Amino acid sequence: MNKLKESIEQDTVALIKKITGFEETDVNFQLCKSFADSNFKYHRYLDPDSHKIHREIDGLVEKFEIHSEKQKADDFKELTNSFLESPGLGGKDTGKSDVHYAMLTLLLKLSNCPLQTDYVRKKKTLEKESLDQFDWTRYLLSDVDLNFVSYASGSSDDEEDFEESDDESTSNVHAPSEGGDLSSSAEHVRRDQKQQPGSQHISFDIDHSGDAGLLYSQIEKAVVVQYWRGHALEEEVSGDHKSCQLYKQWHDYRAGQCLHTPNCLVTEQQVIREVLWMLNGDVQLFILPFSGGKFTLNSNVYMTHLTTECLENSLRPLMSTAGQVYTLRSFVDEVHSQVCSGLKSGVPCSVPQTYQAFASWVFQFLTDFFQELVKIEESVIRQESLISLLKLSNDLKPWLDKVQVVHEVYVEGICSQSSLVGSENNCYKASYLLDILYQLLIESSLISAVDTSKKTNFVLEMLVATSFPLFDIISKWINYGLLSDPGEEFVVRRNKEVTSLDETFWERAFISNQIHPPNETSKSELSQKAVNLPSSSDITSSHLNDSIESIVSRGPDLLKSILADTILIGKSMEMLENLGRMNEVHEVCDHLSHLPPSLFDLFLNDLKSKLHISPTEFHQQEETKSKVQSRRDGTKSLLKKTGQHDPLLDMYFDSLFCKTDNKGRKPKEKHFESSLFDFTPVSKLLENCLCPVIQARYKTVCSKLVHIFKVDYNLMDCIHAIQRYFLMSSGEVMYDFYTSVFHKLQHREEWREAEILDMFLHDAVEHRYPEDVSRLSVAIISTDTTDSSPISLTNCINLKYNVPWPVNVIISEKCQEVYNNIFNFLLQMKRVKFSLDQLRFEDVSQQVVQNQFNPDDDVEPVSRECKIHKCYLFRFRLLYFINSLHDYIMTRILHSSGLEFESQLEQATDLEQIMVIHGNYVQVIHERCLLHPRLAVLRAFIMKVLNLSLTFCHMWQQGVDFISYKILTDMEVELSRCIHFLSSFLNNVIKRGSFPHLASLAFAFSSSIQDEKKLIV
Amino acid sequence: MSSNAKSKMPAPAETLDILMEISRMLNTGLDEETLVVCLRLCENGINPEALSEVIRELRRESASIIAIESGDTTSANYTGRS
Repeated sequence: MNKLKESIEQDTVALIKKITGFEETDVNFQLCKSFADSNFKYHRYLDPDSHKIHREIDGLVEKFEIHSEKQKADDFKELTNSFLESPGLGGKDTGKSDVHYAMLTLLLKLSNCPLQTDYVRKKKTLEKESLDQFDWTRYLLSDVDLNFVSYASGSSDDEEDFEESDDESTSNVHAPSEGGDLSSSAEHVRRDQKQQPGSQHISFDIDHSGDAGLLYSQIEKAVVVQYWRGHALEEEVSGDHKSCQLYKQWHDYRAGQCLHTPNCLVTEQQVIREVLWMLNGDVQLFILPFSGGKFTLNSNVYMTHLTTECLENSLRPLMSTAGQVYTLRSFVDEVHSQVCSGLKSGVPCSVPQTYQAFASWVFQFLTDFFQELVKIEESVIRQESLISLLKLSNDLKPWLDKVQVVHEVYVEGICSQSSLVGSENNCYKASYLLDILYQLLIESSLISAVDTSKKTNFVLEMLVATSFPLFDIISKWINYGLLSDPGEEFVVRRNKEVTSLDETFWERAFISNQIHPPNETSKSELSQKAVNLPSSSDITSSHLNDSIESIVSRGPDLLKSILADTILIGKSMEMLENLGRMNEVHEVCDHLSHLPPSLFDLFLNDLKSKLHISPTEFHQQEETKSKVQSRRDGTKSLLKKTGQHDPLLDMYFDSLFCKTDNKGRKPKEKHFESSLFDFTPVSKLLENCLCPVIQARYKTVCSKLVHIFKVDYNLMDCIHAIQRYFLMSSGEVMYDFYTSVFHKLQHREEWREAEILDMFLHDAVEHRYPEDVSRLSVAIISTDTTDSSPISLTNCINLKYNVPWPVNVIISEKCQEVYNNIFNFLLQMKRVKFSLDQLRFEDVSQQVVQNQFNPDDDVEPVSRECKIHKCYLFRFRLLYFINSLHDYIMTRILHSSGLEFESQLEQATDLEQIMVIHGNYVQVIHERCLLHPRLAVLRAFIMKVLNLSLTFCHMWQQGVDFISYKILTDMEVELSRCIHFLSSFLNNVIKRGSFPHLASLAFAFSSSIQDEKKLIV
Repeated sequence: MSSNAKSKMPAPAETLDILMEISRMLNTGLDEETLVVCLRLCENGINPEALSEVIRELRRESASIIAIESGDTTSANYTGRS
């Protein structure tokens, strides 16, 4: 019972909700609920009476009939009977239960004007499985290209109803599939291909059975003959005309002779469409099959109005171009696949970025070309205008020329390069391709005046697009100091072995990526020759320059004008980064814009502005027009005057000048105008666009670096210190040092110890330059043991000045070695001069004890006084010699060269120049101090005199009694010979005008000889 | 138990369709769900006349409430007969 109550309760609630829409929480809902419960429980109605209900039903039926609602009456009667008969209500299997009557009672009570209701009985019908009436054929064929139907048959008017929806540029298979069959599936296609291995065409089999067969037979009539499957169009040649008979006879004759007769008749429209597909790079064609890398004409194909030969002739250029397009497409696909596989595997792609840029540009160009082809094909499909093969060829002529140019570049720049030495070197590859493009640009610019195809502009676009990666590398390097070159195609790369703080940084940090051309070296491996690396210890400016020059000379022609500066800027940027001062050169860039402009953008904008004529320049153009006119007249008259009248030259000048007059001056956004090519060499033009950008950056970066070196790192102070100690420019300081050493030498005391020499040097230096004490040191090095001459005794002294970083990049260890050589030579000279200066007259004239000296041993031809006098004279001759040499070296060479060096340093604009100037300076003083191996003979004589002087000093100190007259005379003779030789040698050199600075020394020696003659006389 | 099991059996869909046709013909204003609820109530022994009386009254009063609310939102609550 409880369940019944609950059920009633739930149903009551549902009923109230349904009828009133109140929620249970609503006050009204509770009122409704109590109302319903009360009515259900406490009503006064009787249970339904079946008879009464039947009567009511009958009454209602009668009422319907009376109101002419016969249908309604019948329906009502039928429905009520059906209802009463239907089982299953109230859990009973029979009809006419209480529930049946109760429900009828309820409905009758609730009925509301049934006569006024528009009632239509729902026909309850069993829905049969409806047949599929959908027109699948039409639906499936709606996407199939049926537009070609007219081209062969020419009879269907329905063809215009079809819309061309086939995208020709993306389709690979161009079979004119007129019959897409319902059962066509991949299996069908495969089977079809298997049946025709010779032909790659895919078509659809037609099922001729049943209704579908009927349908397809209708379609077949309306579409093109399947010429690609050997179904030839029937040729109808009929009539009484003689030509018809001749044709038939000719045909029969050929058939009788068993000659090969083409049997597949095609129309020109079909040929044109296949030509368009062929140019699109598709290879699965029937009329123009692709084999062996080129397209040929199918020998089975013929046309009614053209002979096969004529057709082949007219198609030959198109077929050639199609082959080129196919090659270019293959190249682009290959590059893309390599790049994609590189991206997937994470391994850097081996294809240079320059190739990628070129491939990208070729892809864009081909896309444009294919779009043009699609346009033409659309017009062919529309058939609104007449398009013949000839017209197609003429229309496509500019494009064919362009394709040929691109293909030429590809073949020469990429294909031919692969067979050369160094084909694996990306730098070589990139340079080679760019050089080919550059040469092509220059060649085309030379004939641009008479060339109507605008080839120059086209090639320039290609060159600019292809050179983008290199420009990008340069731009990042010079703007951010970052040499980002994953493909190693730029001319230099960072040498990882050299650290940033290495003193050889400038020389070895960036090494060449290039290979030597085969004529320079037979080695095929990469030359890892360091940039600027001097050979052995020879610090020469020419070496420094040679390395950069050789890199630039082997670099791409396009970049030759900027490569040297670029390398300098790049090196300077890294140096600035190492010094922590890179932000200072960035600030200059950030002054105008937040990011430094890309070199490529600047170059492109400059190029565009130079090639376009702005409106403001129009007036200047007008002026130049008149100038051009006068120049043309002048040129002609000049030619006439000289009698070199050449009609071809006249025509050339006319076209050249007229072209300038008639130039359209509409600036374009993308393409370049070639207005300036007529007069400005394109190489100069490109140089003018590139150089200012690089120059501006060069000034900013390199000047900053030089400024930092000079001001913040005291470059000049270091150089002065070097001059002070190594070149003894600070006489008083070094005098203290070397006199201490010489005294020790004189007194035969031990001096050959680094500590003693260090002490002497520090003692000498600390009074004047205390800051240098910590940097200066002396070392004793082992010298050449074979040289036992007294003058070479001091060669073991090796000065060392600790040059702080980064100045040691300029004054390197190798430079100090050269400085040390000069120092040793100066020390020898100073020693001789000191020894001669220290001689006292009483020493030579001192009396020797009798038992120590036996005059009987050697009878002197001259008196003692005379010998003393001779010694005096000899001493002063030696002094004169050494003073002349000393003055020459210290003043004419070291001082004046130093002044020159400093003035050059003031003008230096980059670190490279400073290094070159310093290298030059070191080399010059090294050479002028007669230390160069070339001057070994001269040096030998001077050394002989110096040794002679030391020997004489030694003899002097022993006294005149120990000096034999003969030895003295021999020494005099030796000195005279040396001076004679030196004098004549130097005078000869001076006469040649090679070394004017030697004049003073030569004069000194000559005057010495004259004095000698006077003495003799 | 068996009668209970039978009573719980839902009415055949065909019967309901016929009932719904009759209802439509007589313009009772009952939808299919309400009709099913009514059928269950009748099956559970509710007097059909009382049920029809309740439905009519509920319709009338809810219509008046809706009319009052749309005309005057401050109207009083429903005060139906008990």
